[in-house]
Amino acid sequence: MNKLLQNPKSTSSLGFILLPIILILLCTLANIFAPATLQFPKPLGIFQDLLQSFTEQNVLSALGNTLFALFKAMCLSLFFGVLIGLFLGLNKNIWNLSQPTIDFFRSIPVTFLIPAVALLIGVTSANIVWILATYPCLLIMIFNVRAGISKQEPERVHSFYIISGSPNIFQRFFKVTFYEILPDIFSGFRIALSYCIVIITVLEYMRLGNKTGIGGLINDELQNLNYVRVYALTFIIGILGFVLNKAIEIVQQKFAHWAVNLD
Amino acid sequence: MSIEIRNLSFEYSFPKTKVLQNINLKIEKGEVVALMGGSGSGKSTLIKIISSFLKPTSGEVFVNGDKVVLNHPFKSIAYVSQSSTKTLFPWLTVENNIYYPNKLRNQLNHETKKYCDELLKILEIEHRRKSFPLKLSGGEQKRLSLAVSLSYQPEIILLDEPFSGIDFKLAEELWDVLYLDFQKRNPTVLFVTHSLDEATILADRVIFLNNLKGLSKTEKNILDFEQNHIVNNHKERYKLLLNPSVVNYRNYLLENFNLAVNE
Repeated sequence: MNKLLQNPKSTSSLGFILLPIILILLCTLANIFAPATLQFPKPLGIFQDLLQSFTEQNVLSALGNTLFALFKAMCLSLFFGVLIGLFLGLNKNIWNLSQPTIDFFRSIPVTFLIPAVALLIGVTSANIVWILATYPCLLIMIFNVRAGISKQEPERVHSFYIISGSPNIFQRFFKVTFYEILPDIFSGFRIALSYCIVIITVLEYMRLGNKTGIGGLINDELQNLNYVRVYALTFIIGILGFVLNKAIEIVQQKFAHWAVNLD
Repeated sequence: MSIEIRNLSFEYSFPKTKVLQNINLKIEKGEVVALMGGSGSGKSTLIKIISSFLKPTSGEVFVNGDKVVLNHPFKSIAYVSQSSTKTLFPWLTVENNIYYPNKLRNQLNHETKKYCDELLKILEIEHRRKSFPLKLSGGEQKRLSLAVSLSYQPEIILLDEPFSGIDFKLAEELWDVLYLDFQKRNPTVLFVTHSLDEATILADRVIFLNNLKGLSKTEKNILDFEQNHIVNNHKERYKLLLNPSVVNYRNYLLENFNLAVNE
């Protein structure tokens, strides 16, 4: 057993088994100890409903809407985050000039921007959810790209100049800087992704936009007092985050392996 | 290619520390010079300035008559840093790291590839050619750094403690590799070392650096390497280190070293 717990590969596999056990344990405890008025459903019922929900059209359509909003917000954050991060990070003076503005905006919760964005595109606009979700994710990407640039090893850059026999800045960017910031782009993307799922589902729950996502569906089921489905849908959000994070981790191990502990 | 240093001084800004003061030095084409001195005497700083990684506070460095400008290294120069992990490219395999300089210089062809493969063999890292640098041991990383620096056959080689952290036996084998390369191609070499044996065996001249006085003391090596045939292998060289004339020379270097450090 000791050996099993010391091997990173086996502890990683054990984590997969541990997750459903923890979920069942938490649900059982909530079912036993929660006040009767909360009507916490039995764990078996939640898991049965979870499997059942994947066959229902309205759940799949809501999941599709949430995923599409997530995809748009993440694509936009990645593209503009890397671009702005590079623009601000590659020049120390530009970064110093822009830092107060960024620090000001990073403290403002996205929910407080709802009135401003709603004023521009309308509260029922199909795009309001992903536009709002893009804002904090974009900031996360900018900061991570900037961090990657500042962590760049000066001796490696110099070594590149020496072995290439030329101080070409463009060549340096594509052959050194890009690879130096790649691990930070990945870690920023993973943080932003988890954050994005939280924001999108909360905004959907608040009934923003005209499309029903998973968050919206949870709100509907709560109105119908269908608590089993509410928790089943909540688990779907957890599964979504877990699967997407794992997928990016695999891509990261492939393309930025030098910064990932593969043991 | 010759190196000339005129009235060179250097001061680090944070914290403000004077490292080099009014250094004057000329290294002729094809000369192999060892740079010795106490810790913090400015040996590495001097090498970094010559490689254009640092800008001198005052004074000038000329390589083959051309003034060295910050981040504009001379085209046919190689620099091996104290820390191999900082200068190797972790996203490239061992094989690609060694091919990289020739690839960047558009010189990668059958002949240069063969030369690089030979270096991998001589430096005994051929079995790790598909590995990534961060997966190598410290000694293997050092050998790879040396291989990369020799791969494009530079006319000037700057080595900053190339054998530190390597066991004595392996270091002796690396002396052979370097010495054979020096004999074959006749590059100008400046290397930092703390080992009197290394200085005795490899260098034509040893310079003792004392930053406080800004003084560099140079003495000609009394050994004629070609006549003594000491390059065949490290076993012969080890025997040579016991030779009375070599022991005398080594003691003479030690006296000078003590003078430089204590002045």
